[in-house]
Amino acid sequence: MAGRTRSEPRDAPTDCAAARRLLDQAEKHLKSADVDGVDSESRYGMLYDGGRKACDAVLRASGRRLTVGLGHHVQYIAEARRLLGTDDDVARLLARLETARAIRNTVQYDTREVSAAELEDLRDAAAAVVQRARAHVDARCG
Amino acid sequence: MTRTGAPSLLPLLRSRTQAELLQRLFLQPEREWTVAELASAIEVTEMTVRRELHRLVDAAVCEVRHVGRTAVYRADQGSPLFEPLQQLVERSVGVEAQLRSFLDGVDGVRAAAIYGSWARGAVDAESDVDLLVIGDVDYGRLVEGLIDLRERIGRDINPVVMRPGELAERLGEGSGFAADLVTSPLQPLLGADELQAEAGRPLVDP
Repeated sequence: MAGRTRSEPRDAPTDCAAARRLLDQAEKHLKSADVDGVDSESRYGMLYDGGRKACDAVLRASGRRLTVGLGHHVQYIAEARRLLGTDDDVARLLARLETARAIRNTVQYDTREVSAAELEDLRDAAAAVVQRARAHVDARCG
Repeated sequence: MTRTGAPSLLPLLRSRTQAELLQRLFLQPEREWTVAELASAIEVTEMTVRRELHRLVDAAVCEVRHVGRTAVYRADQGSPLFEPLQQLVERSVGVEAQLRSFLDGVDGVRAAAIYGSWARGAVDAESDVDLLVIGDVDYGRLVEGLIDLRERIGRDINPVVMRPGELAERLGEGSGFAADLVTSPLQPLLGADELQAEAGRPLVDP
């Protein structure tokens, strides 16, 4: 990993089709997270992926992409937060997704488990992020 | 006086007593303290507290005034060293006190403890804080508050929030994560008895 640069947002052509596909995928991830018999850690990963893809949809609809590099998940969330506006609700919502990102990392790469409260919160937060992203994409792309 | 070693989080301080004293003075800078109050809070003799306070007054980071025959002390907020010293305390030896104070004000928190490298004492300037919280809490609000606190202490805080009974339930199900939590050092912040009841065993001291 040494020598790799950090991922950064840059201008790119607006891609409404990709934005909509990402939102559709995000909604599928959220539905899959509710399927019976799935363990909590997998559910958490799916919910997080849904939220993260919704952030990516916001970027694509706004003519922004991330360069390849370290920390791109952090950047998806930070750039979506910037693009969705500065109101406190958006800031709080994306702060919850950012917390989920850190938790998901330790779940994926360590032995941490997800609690019921954490899962429930991410279920609500990811759904709200997708909803916000959908409204943003509709406004930008018609 | 019992000699105490330098605190590992801020080894430039001479002793834990000094660290405790600075926490009391700099995390509540408006508050005035008598020697007796500080001695009681820190659990050392009044002579020890008086000696440390005189050093801080001589260094112009603490001020003293007399109310009748009683001397009261507080941090000198006019000192050019006040802000940097307060920040140093907030980011090192004062982290646990700030977490405890914050969690004490969160509805529904029944127990909380620091685990991981912090509780093992294996910390450095970059270490984050792994936090276990047990209670019926508004998770979103808790996380938002911790984000604000993270800014103040300059360290990441990674919370694990479990409902009452969830830790015990996971232990019963054979969860390795839960087993690691209760067999590793825990630094209780609130509700140590409740935490021990959930763990079903004595807590491992840091």
